Amino acid sequence: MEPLDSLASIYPESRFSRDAAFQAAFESDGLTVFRAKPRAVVIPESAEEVIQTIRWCHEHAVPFVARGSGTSLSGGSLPVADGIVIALNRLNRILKIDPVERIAVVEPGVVNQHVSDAAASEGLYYAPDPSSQSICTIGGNLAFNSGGAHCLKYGMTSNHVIGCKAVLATGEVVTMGGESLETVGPDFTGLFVGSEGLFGVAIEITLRLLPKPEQFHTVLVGYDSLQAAGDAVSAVIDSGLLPGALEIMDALSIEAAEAAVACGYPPGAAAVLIVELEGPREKIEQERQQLDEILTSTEPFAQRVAVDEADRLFIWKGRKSAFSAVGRLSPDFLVQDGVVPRSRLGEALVRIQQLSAEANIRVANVFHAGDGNLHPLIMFDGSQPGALHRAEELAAKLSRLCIEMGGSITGEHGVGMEKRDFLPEMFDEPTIRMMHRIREAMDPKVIANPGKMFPGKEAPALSKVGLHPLEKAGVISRE
Amino acid sequence: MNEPSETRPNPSEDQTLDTPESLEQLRDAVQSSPRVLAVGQRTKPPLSETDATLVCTRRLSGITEYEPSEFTFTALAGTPLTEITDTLAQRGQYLPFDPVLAGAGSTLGGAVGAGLSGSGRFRYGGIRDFLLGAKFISGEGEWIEAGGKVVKNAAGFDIPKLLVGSLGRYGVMAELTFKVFPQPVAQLSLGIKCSTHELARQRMARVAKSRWELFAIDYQPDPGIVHLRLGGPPQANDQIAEEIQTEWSGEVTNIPLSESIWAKTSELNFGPHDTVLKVPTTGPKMQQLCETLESAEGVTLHASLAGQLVWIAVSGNTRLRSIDTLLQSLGLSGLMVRGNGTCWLGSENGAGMAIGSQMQRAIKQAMDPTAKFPELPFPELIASQ
Amino acid sequence: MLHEIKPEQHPPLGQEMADAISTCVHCGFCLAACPTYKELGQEADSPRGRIVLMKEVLEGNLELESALPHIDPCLGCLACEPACPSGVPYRDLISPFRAQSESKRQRSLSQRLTRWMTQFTLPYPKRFRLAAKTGKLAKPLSFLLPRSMRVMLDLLPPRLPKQQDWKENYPAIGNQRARVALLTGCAQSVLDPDINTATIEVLNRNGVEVVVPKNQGCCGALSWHVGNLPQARQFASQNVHAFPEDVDAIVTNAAGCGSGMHEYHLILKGTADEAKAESFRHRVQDVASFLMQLGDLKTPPDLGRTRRIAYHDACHLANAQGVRAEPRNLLRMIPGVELREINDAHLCCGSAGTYNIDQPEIAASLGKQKASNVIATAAEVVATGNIGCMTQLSNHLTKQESGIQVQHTMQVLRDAYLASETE
Repeated sequence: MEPLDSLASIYPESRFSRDAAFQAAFESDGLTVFRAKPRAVVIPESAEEVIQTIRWCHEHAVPFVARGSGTSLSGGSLPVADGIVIALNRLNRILKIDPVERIAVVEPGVVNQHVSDAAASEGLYYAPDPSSQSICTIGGNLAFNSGGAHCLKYGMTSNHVIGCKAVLATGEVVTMGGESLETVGPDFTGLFVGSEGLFGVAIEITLRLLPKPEQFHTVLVGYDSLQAAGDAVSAVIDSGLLPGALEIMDALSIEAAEAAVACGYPPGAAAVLIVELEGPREKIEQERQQLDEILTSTEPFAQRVAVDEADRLFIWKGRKSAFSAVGRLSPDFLVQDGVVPRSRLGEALVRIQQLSAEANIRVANVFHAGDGNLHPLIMFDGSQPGALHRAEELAAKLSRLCIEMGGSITGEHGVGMEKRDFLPEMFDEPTIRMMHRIREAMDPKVIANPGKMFPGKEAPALSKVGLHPLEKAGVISRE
Repeated sequence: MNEPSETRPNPSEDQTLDTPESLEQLRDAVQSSPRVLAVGQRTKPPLSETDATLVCTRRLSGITEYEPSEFTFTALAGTPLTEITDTLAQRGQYLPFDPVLAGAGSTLGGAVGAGLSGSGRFRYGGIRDFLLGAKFISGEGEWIEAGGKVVKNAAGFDIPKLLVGSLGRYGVMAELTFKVFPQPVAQLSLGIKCSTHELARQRMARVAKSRWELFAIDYQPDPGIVHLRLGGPPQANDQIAEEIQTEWSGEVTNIPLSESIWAKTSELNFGPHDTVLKVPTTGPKMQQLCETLESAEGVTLHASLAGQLVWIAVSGNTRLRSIDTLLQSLGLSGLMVRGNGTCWLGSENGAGMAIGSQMQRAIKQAMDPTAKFPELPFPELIASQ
Repeated sequence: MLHEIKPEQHPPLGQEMADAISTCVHCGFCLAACPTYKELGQEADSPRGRIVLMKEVLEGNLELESALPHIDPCLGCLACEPACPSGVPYRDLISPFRAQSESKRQRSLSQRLTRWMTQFTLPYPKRFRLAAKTGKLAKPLSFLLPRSMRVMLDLLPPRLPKQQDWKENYPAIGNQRARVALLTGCAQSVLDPDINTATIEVLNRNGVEVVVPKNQGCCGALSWHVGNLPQARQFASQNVHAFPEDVDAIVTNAAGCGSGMHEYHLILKGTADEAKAESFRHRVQDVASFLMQLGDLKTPPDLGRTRRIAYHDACHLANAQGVRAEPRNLLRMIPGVELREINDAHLCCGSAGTYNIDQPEIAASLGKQKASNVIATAAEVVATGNIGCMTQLSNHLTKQESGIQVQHTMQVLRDAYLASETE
């Protein structure tokens, strides 16, 4: 029996596919510059099927990539050309909502937003809110330690996963953490979150739920310059307030969002700042006065306070659709995700503008200003020869800029395919070696999402457009 | 488990204690001994019970970077927690998880290695959630710089988190970067009298998911008081406190901060006891612990995190055997952080833990291939099928 | 998304299709909105997946036959369009793609027969009336038929309403404020002719003169959405000539028709009527939208009782024409009406033209869910703006033994106007 047939025998016909349509549909995720057709796609409906699949992969040394909704912006769920895609989106059961202990136990294919929806009747919610929360899955969030607009106050996915059952690439099934906020012993759950699928696949995830803030105070502020918006962020931070979110969008991204969702941002603004306070009404009543004073002192030219929940969501809609909305301004774009120290935000933005001008490539900026997490959107037209290559060169410069400034190449999208060449610039050799050792401890055959996070020899997926431009340029190589 | 009642000789008496004064000396110290364990001020003696050479980081002290508007600081591992909390307080900032044993002299590195968080962990997360980066020496004597120095970072494996609770068994921490938050303008403390443990649990559950956004929810089974901590503008605190007082009319008292339990809890000061165990749990088991140990002499319990963590304080080691049996029967695990003796009690399955995992051994091997550091003194922590 | 499509190889709508594909950034936001993704739970059956598959086919990298099992289940409900931040005009891709692939695909005899039956009868009121009557007679023998045809029979109402014909002109009552031409539709005029009568009544009462062009035919949407371009063109061409220029709007009261007529520029691209189609489509407006725009509407009398009405968004009204608030506002205008929202309102009811016939399992599952959600609103009436939805809702509400009445928004409004006169 051919090996693949023995994998097929785990599944009914409808949930195992090696046909061309599936290979095409799964060939990329939210980062389409990389494409690779998998050998087969399996669609498990139970944890047991996932375990059997991974044990099969381990036995036959076949690489696998687990995938939720395929929204990764770093190419994190890009298939491996000779590997298996494990599509987890039918493992979408919420196994338990415990309002007393304030936890949810979910399968990996549960959509982020659905956790909050399910907990809403108990007055609880799941705090991390990536822009793609209406569709991205908890499994993917866990693998890439996803962030969102409200990380400043509540942290990233990692801060909200308190336990997880996973099947490692060896086929071993392990349970880390539990239902308590506290554990004893090394924080294995903390290590597993953000491991980009290189250890194995989480099959049951325990999440911490928080009481839904009673009241939000969301302010949309328009400024004449990016600098002024950046200064306003510092003023808010220095005041001792701890807003749930502090977001900035520049003129280009405002234009895109406006075109996409008509979000009603102040016309002519060079930058808008979204500040959101949240908490009990008594607290908001006090803090909003303080915030008003601070914002007034920053001399905005327009200011709007969300009048109700619908209005608040409307303001957020512009922000949350910004990435995809840039699709209206440019046929193609690369989303960057670097982090710089917040106090150097202004400096970073100036440098980005310079680099953008030098390269003659438009860059829109959307960022989580409170965290110093930048999202420059590098626009290009992929149908023009060399355009992708030039865009990637600019992206590389921006990544290096973040490293130089003492920041990070990724705040929340993960390294994935996209930034794997920069990992060694951020971490020195002994640290990278240690990461490799940890990876091999979990996955000695290097079959779990190979080609991601680390540069080098592991067989990466082949870009359909032939050699990756960075390869052509001799910057990266693969075997 | 090992014999908990047996007091081992104090290791500091027969072990050399190296106290390097520079990072270079620290590395030399690690390299020059075959088996090493880093300690700080040894405020949690059971965690460093080993025959390895002890390397003390207390002279590697001081905050190396602190930029309040970044919400981050970096400090050497031997820096006393008090120095950090004082420095932060001057700029209106703090570590929201109520660092443990600061008053006893605990160092930053010790706090990370032990993985301890106090009552404040309830609101914004524990020490694991505020640790951003770590510079440490591997068993091979190499400097490892993991994580980052900015508040948000998703690059590479989150090795700093793995160091939390690792009891120094994966490396010798030298420098740590933390996230900090602005301190609430004011705090306010309330006590709710509860006649039974069940009632206390119900009320904790009620306030934990309330709109009030409490900073801490603790429970003293004796004398049966649920303690709440509010943080924010004073006027808001007062208004919320008033509503809570109305909800349980006559049973809620305003406790002046000077008399509140928070500081004592952070110091693990639960009466005249020398031994303290950390027991992660959930509400129902907390209640069972309280009920079972209610009349036990020489035992004091204290619950934090709305019942998800119980501190068990006892005098001497004589009661440990029965507590161990109790924890086992409840499927809970305990870490002895104060006192003498082995640091592990209770179930091997507690909090999702069991013997037999390849993973825990493989990670230890990956972090410490030359076995420079002692084995983790636990049964296997990761449940495995 | 990058692609290597050569638009000139796919006339007449190659460029439109290529443009739609290049607008997609593969972000996946559409997955949350897509009913078939919710039903089937696999990437290839999501809008994003289908865009990739169509791209691959157009590039010549994928056999049409491999893609079709995933393209066919697409309801064409366009729920993906409002969900798309990049603004992919999915309709510019799916309908032209279907039209193009129809000529190239292999269909089984029973499929061909079913398609022929629907396309030969549904768009022609007389033929449809006859077929419906015959079908009713054939019901006892339905077990002899292929499944898809059995489904067709199941959809037929137990009895057809009395045939109605309309005059060519209905003058405004009171001051004339506007003049419109009404598309009477084909299947609708057989299955529920009262919708047109109600529409005319409501318009007249608000000072709108209604003309009913005699030479109008089926709107062609049905043919267009199933990929029958020649037939669609024939109807579209007939209508652009049949409707007068001197009206304020061409008013539709069936969502599917309205949306189809908005796409005449695509259907007629490359024909002699191309230019005429472009101006025509901009004059097409759903009746609810027209009325709200007209404003200053007559308030129905207050009968002093509350009435719980749920409003169901027809996909081709809400998604294709962006008409969501207007019908709700019209209903709220009726004194005593308590408007109820339906859970998962964005999900298609499964009617979707002939989808019921082509994809009966998914259609039935969606219909069942929709009916349950309607029942959960505890409404007395569910109002909507599309005959297909009305048939589907009636069927599934009846199956769940619900007494909730299904009405067109215009019927609810007309009844409200007439209420005082009948009571």
